[in-house]
Amino acid sequence: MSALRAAMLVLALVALGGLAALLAGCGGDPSAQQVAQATCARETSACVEVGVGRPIYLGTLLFEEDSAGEDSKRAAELAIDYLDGSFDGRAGDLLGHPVALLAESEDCTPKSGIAGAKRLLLEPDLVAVIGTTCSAAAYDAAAKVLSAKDVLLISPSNTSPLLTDSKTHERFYFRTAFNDLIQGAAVAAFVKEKLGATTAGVISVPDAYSKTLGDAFADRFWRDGGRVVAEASMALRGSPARAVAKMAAARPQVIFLPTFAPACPAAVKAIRATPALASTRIVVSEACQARDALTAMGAASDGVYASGPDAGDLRADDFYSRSFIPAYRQAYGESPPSVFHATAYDAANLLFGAIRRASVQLPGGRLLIDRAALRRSMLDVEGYRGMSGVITCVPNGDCAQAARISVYRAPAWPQVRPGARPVFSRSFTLAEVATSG
Amino acid sequence: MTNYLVSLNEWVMVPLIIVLTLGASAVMMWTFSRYIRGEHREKSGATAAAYMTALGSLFAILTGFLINSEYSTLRDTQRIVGQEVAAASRLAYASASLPAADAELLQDALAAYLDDVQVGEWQALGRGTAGKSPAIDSLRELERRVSRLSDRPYVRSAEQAAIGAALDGVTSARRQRVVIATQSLPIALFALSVIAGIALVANSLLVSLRAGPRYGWVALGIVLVVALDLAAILAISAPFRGPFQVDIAPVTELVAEVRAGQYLDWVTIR
Repeated sequence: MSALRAAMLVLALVALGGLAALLAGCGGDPSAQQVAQATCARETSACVEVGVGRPIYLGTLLFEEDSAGEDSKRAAELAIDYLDGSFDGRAGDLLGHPVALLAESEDCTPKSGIAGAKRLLLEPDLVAVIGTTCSAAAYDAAAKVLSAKDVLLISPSNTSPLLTDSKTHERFYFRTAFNDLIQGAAVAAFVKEKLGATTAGVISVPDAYSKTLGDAFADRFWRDGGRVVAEASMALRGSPARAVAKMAAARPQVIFLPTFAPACPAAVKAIRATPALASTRIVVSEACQARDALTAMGAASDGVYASGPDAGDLRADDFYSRSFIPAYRQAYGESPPSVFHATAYDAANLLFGAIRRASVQLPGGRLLIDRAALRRSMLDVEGYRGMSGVITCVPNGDCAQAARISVYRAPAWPQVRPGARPVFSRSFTLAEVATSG
Repeated sequence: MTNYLVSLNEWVMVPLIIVLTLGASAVMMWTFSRYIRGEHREKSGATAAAYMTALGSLFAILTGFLINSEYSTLRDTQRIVGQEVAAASRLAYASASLPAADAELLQDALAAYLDDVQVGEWQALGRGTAGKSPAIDSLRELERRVSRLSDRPYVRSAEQAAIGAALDGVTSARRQRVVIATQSLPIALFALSVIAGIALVANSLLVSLRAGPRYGWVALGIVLVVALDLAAILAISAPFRGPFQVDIAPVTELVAEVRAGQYLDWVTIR
C-alpha cells in the first residue's frame, strides 16, 4: 500500500512538472512575427502584406523630363536589376518577391508633387517612393502627402535645407542628396577664395530649392566677408530679363544661379548678352550641372562654373567605374547625364536593405512590412558605404552627413568630359555648416 | 517498427514501450505461473537467480554501448550544426567588407538558406527525404552569388578567399549533417538488447515467482528499468526526429541576426 502511495506521489509530481513546463512555454516572449501580426491586425493601413508571388510596390516621383530625374530613374532601375547580383538587364527579386516600380512624374512644382504622390497612393500596397527630383515638389507637397500615409519618400536630389529642418521635416522623408547648407558654404568659399570676388548677386526661382540655396550661399558669403549686392527672382519657365537688369544695375563680380533648367540656361544666355555684365563670372548649382543644360546655353556656356558633388570621388570608387558605369552605358546607350545617379542608386539600395530588415516573413512565403518599422530601419543606417559616399540617416531625414562639393568650369563639366578635373573642391560636414550658421 | 517508434514524441513513446514491456511481462508471468509449478518453480527460481547478475550485466553492457553510441552521434550532430552556424556567421562577417549592395545581397541569400534549413530541411532530414529539402536550391543560389564575386574586378582576392572558405565550411558541415541523418540505429545490436532485456525480465519473474508476491515489486522495477532503457535508446537514436533532436536554436538565432542586419557594420542595432 505504501509503495502504491509513493507511486501516486511520483505521478502527481510529474503531472505538476508537466503543467509548470506548459505554463512556462505559454509565457515566453512573443516572436517578431507575432508582434508584427498583432500590430498589423490593429491597423491594416500601418502594414503592407505582400502575397505569394505578388510584387513589392515601390514608386518613383521624378522630374523625368529633366536629365536629373531621368538619371535618378535609371539608377533606381539598375538597383532593381542588381537585386539578382548582376547587371544583366533582368530585374532581381527582393525577399523572393519581384519589385514593381510605379512611375509618376513631377515638374518641379508643389502642385505636381502633390498630384504625383496622390496618384502613387492609389496603389494601397505602395511601400515607398524614390523621389522627388526637385525640392519644390517635395516640400509642403509630396513629402507631406506621403508622410500622412506613412509611406517613405527617399530623395536622391532634393537639397533644400527646409526639407530636413526640424520645424518643417516630414517624418517619413529622407534624402541621400547633400544638404544645400553644404553647397552654399562651398560655393561661397569658391567665390571668395578662388575667384577673389567680394561682391555677388543671386538669381533664384521662388521655390523651396532655389531660394534656400541662394540664401545659404548669401549667408555664408556675408559671413566670409563678401557682400551680396543684388538678389533677384525669376520664374522657372519665365523670362530672365528683369532679374538680369537688376544684376546689371548692381554689377556684381559673380552671379550665382541656383536654379534648374530652363531658368538656368536662359539666365546664363541673358547675362552673357548684357554688356554691363561682360566681366561677371557665373556660377550655377548642381541642378543645372547637366548635359542638356550645357547644350541649351550654347556658346554662352563657355567659362560658366558649376558646383556639385565631386565626380572624382565617384570615379575613384571601383564598383562605380568598373561595374555601374559600364552597365549604365550598356542599358541606356550613354553616360549618366547628371550628378544624381549615385545618390539615386544609394537611395534604392538603402530602401531595399530597410525592407529586408523591417519585413517579417510569414509561412508560405508571404511578407509583412510594417511601415513604422521600415522608417526605423532607415534610422538604423550609420556609416553605409554607398556609391555617393558614407551615409548615416538621422531623424530629420538627412542621410548625407558630409559632402565634397567641387566646382567645374565649362566646357569641362564631368557630364560631357568624364575625366574633367574641378577647379575648386571643398568638403564640409553638416555639423560644421549647421553650427556655424 | 523502430522507424515508427523513434518518430513518436516522448509522451507517447515512453508509455507505449512501458505498456509493451509490461504486456510481455504479464504474458510471461501467466505462462510461468501456469506451467511451472511446485518443485520446478523452486528449482527454476534458484537457477534464474544465479543468472540474474550475468543477464543484468549483459543487458547493461549492450544498452550502455547503444546509448553511448547514439548519444555520441547526437552530440556530434549538434557540434556539426554549431560548425555550420559558425561558418555561416564567418561568411556574414566576411561579406560585410564588400560594397554595400553586394554585402546585402550575399547576406540575403545566406538568410534565405538558413531559413530553409530551419523551416524545411530539419523536417526533410527527419523524414529521410534530404534530397527534397528546399535548402538545396537556396544553397545553390548562395554558391552562385559567391562564385560571381570572382568576376568582380573590385573585390579583393583576400575578401574572395575569406568568403569562399566560409562557404566551404557551410557546405561541408551541411553534407556531414545530411550523412548523419541517413544513418539509423544498428538494428542487430538493438534486437540483441531487446532479447537480453526480455531474458532479464523473464529471469526476474521466475525469481519473484519463487520468492512470493511480496517480492513482485522487484520484478516490476526491473521491467520498468528495461522499458526505460529501451525507450532511451530509441529516443536518442534519430537526431532529426523523435524526443531528443538536435537543437535548431543556433540556426534560428543566426537567421534573426542576419535578417536584422547585425552583420552589416552600417546597421546600428538599438
